[in-house]
Amino acid sequence: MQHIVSVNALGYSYHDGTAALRGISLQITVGERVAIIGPNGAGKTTLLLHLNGILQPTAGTIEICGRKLDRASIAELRPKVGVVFQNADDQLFMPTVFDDVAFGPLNMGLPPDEVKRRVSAALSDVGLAGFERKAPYHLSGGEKKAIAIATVLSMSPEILVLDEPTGSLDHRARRRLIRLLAQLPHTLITATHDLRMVMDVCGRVIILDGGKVAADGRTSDILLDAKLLESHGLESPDS
Amino acid sequence: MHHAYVDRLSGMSSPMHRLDPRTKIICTLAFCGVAVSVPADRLALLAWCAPPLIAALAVSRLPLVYFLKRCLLLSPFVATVLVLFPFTQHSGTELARVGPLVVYSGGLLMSVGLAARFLCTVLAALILACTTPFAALLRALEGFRIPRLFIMVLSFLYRYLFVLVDESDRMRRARDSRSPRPGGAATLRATPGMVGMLFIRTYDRSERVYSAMLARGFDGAVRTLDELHFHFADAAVLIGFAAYFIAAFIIAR
Repeated sequence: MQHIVSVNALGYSYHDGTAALRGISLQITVGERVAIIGPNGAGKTTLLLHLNGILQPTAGTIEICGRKLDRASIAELRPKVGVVFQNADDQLFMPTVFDDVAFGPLNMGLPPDEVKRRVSAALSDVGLAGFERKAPYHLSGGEKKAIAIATVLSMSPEILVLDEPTGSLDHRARRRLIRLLAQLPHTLITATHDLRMVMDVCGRVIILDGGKVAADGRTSDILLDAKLLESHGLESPDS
Repeated sequence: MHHAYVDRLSGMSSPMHRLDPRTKIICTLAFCGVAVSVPADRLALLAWCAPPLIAALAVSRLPLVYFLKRCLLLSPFVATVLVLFPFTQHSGTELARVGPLVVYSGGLLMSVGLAARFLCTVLAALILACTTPFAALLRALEGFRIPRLFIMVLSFLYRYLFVLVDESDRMRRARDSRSPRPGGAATLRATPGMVGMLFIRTYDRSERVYSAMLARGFDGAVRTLDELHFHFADAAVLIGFAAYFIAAFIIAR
């Protein structure tokens, strides 16, 4: 089987010496949908930020699409990994929705017509066609989240990485987002506390605790193991 | 959401709103240049500035009352000077005495001239701001070959101003809801800390935003799609505008 993401003995320490990741190894195959769950401070976001080279590992290696992620390959590999940040206000930094969704494609050096085509395709993929001229602060939380996803879809990534996609969304916006995520054909990696979303969207779950992989398996196996969940500060979604 | 009022008027639709932002910027700058360069001894010439302003206001269909209120918001800056001039500029003839103070005709004239210039420039700038979305203004600056980096800074300022105002609002609410006497000494003592917190949060946010930019391939060069269209109406407005003031200049000579 072909591994699209391969993380080998990944370690990372912050400047103040705090070790956030301690030897993480995991392989993800094409088309897989993986949830990374765990208590606060387990290193979920830190791990995600390594997947497109925002953070550089202090130990170990990462391979994306069979190539080692380093300074030489970063420009080529970054468009393959679309990262959607937790707070949409951090992700949407341009004055209009169009400019924001066009930001990635323009940086990839695509011609103007192709950029426009990708922007409208990405917006209609997330169900917000016609939002081009709006300003991000005029949008609701759910709309902001969908636009944030569109800003990476427009780069045609192979892997989608989402940090807490359903956080701070109301029920309807959350359902809509889950439907959207379930439809997308990409390899999907998401860090989340929303275990019900995991049941709907992801086939595989990795529990991260203290910067290490504590468990890795099928969603149905892991989310039904109440004892395992509880020992890592998690709550079974059915309780 | 409550900050949406900033862009409320510029989102309207009128012939004025549809003009190319570059046309509007050129006209506004030229107009302000004319208004402030009218010599002090020929103030009557400022009357020539009224028709273009009235025409622009009429065509733009902006709500007049709301518009004038915004003008008033800016007036405290000049109001002080306007009141002081007649008493402090000792030129011309003596007009009146208010207690120990003397009003001079030269000072009064300067004050009137200043008020008229203030009104012209502020109205012109407000019409520009109220008929052009901020994003379009930035595009126009790009069209004038202003460095992209500078435009990017302006764009971030505009984008995150609202986020920061919201953030400080939330902090103030959190402080007040835990202060037994809002406005008391304890509240005051908490303020420097809040300002510091706001700075640190802003700094953290800037790092996250920068990460988000890197994640989408930002390499230091700012790229946008140029989408301005210069129509026949723009050419007509520019030519008409220039012709009007050239005619005014010739007649007034």
